[in-house]
Amino acid sequence: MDDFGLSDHELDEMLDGGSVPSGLADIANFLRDAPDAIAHQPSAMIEDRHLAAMTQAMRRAPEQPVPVRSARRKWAGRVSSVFGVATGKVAVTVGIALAVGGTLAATGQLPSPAQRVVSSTMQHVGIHLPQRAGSRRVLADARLKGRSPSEGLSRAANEFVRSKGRNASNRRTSGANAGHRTLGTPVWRAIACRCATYDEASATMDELTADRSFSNWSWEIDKIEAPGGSSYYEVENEFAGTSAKADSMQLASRLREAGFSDAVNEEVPP
Amino acid sequence: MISAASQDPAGARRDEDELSRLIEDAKRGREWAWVAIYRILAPPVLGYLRALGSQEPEDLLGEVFLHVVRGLPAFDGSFADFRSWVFIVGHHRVIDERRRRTRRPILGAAIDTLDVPSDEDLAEDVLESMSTLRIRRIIDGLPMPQREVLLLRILSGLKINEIANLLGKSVGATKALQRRGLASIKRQIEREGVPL
Repeated sequence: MDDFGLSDHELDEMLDGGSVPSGLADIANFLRDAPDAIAHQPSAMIEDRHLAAMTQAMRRAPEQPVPVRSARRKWAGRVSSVFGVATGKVAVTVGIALAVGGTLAATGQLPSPAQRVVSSTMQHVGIHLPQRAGSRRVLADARLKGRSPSEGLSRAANEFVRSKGRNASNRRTSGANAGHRTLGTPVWRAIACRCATYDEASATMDELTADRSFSNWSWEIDKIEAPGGSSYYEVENEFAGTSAKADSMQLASRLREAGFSDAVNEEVPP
Repeated sequence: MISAASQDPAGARRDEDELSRLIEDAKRGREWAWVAIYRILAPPVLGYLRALGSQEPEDLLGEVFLHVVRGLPAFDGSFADFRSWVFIVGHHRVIDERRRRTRRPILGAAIDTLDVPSDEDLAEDVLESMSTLRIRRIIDGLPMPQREVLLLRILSGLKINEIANLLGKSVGATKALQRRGLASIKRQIEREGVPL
């Protein structure tokens, strides 16, 4: 504080390029020139390489499948727009959808993300529904506390995943809460995709997590269907607790080292 | 050519609008828009990655832009928001790289850190103004936490609370780092006795 005799607000203003308090012209000049001084132009070769990779990724983008987990956002958007237009026709449609959806939700047949949303919403009003498609079968396997992830997955569950196609998923837990569906609110996640088969995804996860260094962690494998009829398997890891961020970053690094160039590490939106 | 900032507020707003339209064009898959975005943001992001001590900043820069290309369909916001997002992705990549480095120390790193300039580097350095070199030297002399906060503040457009969130620190601690960093810079400028 004594270095400047300025309030936080005044410092902020200076950093934002606003008024410069007297006697601080030098540091204001520094702040003005710093962006240009720090910037570093990539070489033409690097630029060409990056732009080529971006173009390739962009061209692939229209064919990119929509991951199953985005279904939750799509549903949320539809529901809010439905409430924005209060017409009788919409109300009837919603009624039918709710009736069908309710039946599916009660039997755990909705797409997994939708099942999660419906289940958690209904819990608020005291109605308990399965958390996700096939959750009972998967959880039975998940209760095999202390085993490595794939040991917890039965042949039947594997078959279930294959037969359910795009909505199939398994989530298993590890650490102190192994066997429980809820880890606490997941706050970070590491995602990698493009395994050709479920077994490949599962084996990769086993290998990367063999040291059992993660706690309060759960993971699932989702089958993602592309519009052209192709499909792949995506691994989604969620972490809760105080070490969530560090654990998620570490796993994302491991995934990248294992060749998942598209592994991402991100904060779970609240 | 679209500049990242203008001197007058009206010009700055016009630029901001044009830059935001670039994002819309990039979303529509127009390659020229991506080229423009890359040319605007790659230099500051690469500078940021280097200043944070990345061992392979060019590779990380490529990863950052690939991530951004893949994530753009879900992005919604102004160019300023976009710029902040790109820096956040870059910051995460540097952290990941540091972790990788910790687990697998690079043999011969001690030699690398000597940073003996090549003839090409020397020629480049001569072309750069003394002011630029001095600014880089002062920034490189800051402790890493102060450097992270100030660089994000100066380059990314993130607000102090957003930086605090990104770094996993409290707003108060982040403000203190910012203040201490600026104080160090001020002292360094005064010590050298040559105005910038």
